[in-house]
Amino acid sequence: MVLAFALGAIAVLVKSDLRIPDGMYQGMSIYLLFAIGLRGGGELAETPLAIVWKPALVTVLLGIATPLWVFAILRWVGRFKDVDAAALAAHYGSVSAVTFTTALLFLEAAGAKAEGFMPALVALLEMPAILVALLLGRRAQTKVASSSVSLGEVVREVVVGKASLLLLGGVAIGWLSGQHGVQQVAPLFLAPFKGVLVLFLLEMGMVAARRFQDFKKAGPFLIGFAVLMPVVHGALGVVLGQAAGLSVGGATVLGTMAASASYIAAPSAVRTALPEANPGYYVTASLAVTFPFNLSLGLPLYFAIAKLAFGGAT
Amino acid sequence: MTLKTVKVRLLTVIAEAVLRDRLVEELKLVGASGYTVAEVHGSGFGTVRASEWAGPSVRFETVVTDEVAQALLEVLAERYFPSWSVVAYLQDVEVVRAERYQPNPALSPPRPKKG
Repeated sequence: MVLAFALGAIAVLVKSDLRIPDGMYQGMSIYLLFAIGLRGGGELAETPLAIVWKPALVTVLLGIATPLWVFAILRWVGRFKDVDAAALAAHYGSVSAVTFTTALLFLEAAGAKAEGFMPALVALLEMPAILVALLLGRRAQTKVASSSVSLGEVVREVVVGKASLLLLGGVAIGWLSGQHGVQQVAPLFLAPFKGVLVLFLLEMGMVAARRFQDFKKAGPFLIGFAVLMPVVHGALGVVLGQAAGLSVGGATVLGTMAASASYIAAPSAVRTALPEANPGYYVTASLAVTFPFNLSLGLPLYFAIAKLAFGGAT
Repeated sequence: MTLKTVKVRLLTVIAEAVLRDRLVEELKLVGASGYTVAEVHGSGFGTVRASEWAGPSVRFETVVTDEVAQALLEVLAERYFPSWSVVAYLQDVEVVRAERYQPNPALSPPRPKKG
């Protein structure tokens, strides 16, 4: 799968005329988000609440806490402007659905299957994180605010924005119809899933590679941040996942979720609510640095951390 | 046969995709009688695009009276130019049926709608 991503990146670097049409990119994102949701919802229906509540609680806590310290680090150590720090906090607090999915498949291949309800947690991590970060940003914004968006609109954007809507809607439908119901649409939503993901990663490689030239605008601090922060969040996620009773696979996935930086929901939410923030920072960091890092080195690293943590515990 | 034409204004606004719904609202508020919107590709050299997920940029075209065009430009200048990538330009155009492009009655005192 990483190879498809690399091929996309190469296609851009050698200036190939390959272009994935807009409609296809949008279509594939919609398919992937909805399919992830359905899968997770179906599994959730089979899972007793007693098993889910602890990981869910930990996830929400992560979603609230990570943007706070990301903001603090960038604001006071990195000397970023408030809005830029908040924009980055929104990205690093939230989840990259594609990184998440790649992690699920990676673990399946490694024989450490994660809990099936993990996709439901993605939504739980995503929403508080983006909300907290946007609120931080708006607090700073009141000084400039000529184009300020109302709080209600911010909440609306995060909760019913198409990414959350598809993911949550998928979980809800999967949960309501149960594993049996999900199996009926499996030929469309489960079987071709990996294939679509590979094709999507090809596109993501191209999207990321087009951002490589923005590196110099980001500066060395941000690039360092975009590599180190995921590692810290990844380790934290693994440890918390273990504490919440997840399996090795589940803890690895929670780590990956914490480590990943959103580039679907967060950029549009931030662009709408915090237009003053510079996309040169947040898009470059999350898409051109953190995303490829997580796909290539991050995933095996978090898995290794998880195996170490669980190995030490038993 | 030459049809009699009347001069009105064509306002074109090219903006980031995230602004699409909001610009439609602004167009309604200033009283435009309609619009055409298309997804377009392009880029300011030196600017960074924020989100592929939101889709390509949008180009609005609306044929309006000069007053409505000016009102919309003011709104754009005040609320959108400072923070988002927006390009707007105004042209003279000639149309038949000028009444079609008069301000939408939504803004002026309410009166019964014609079918």
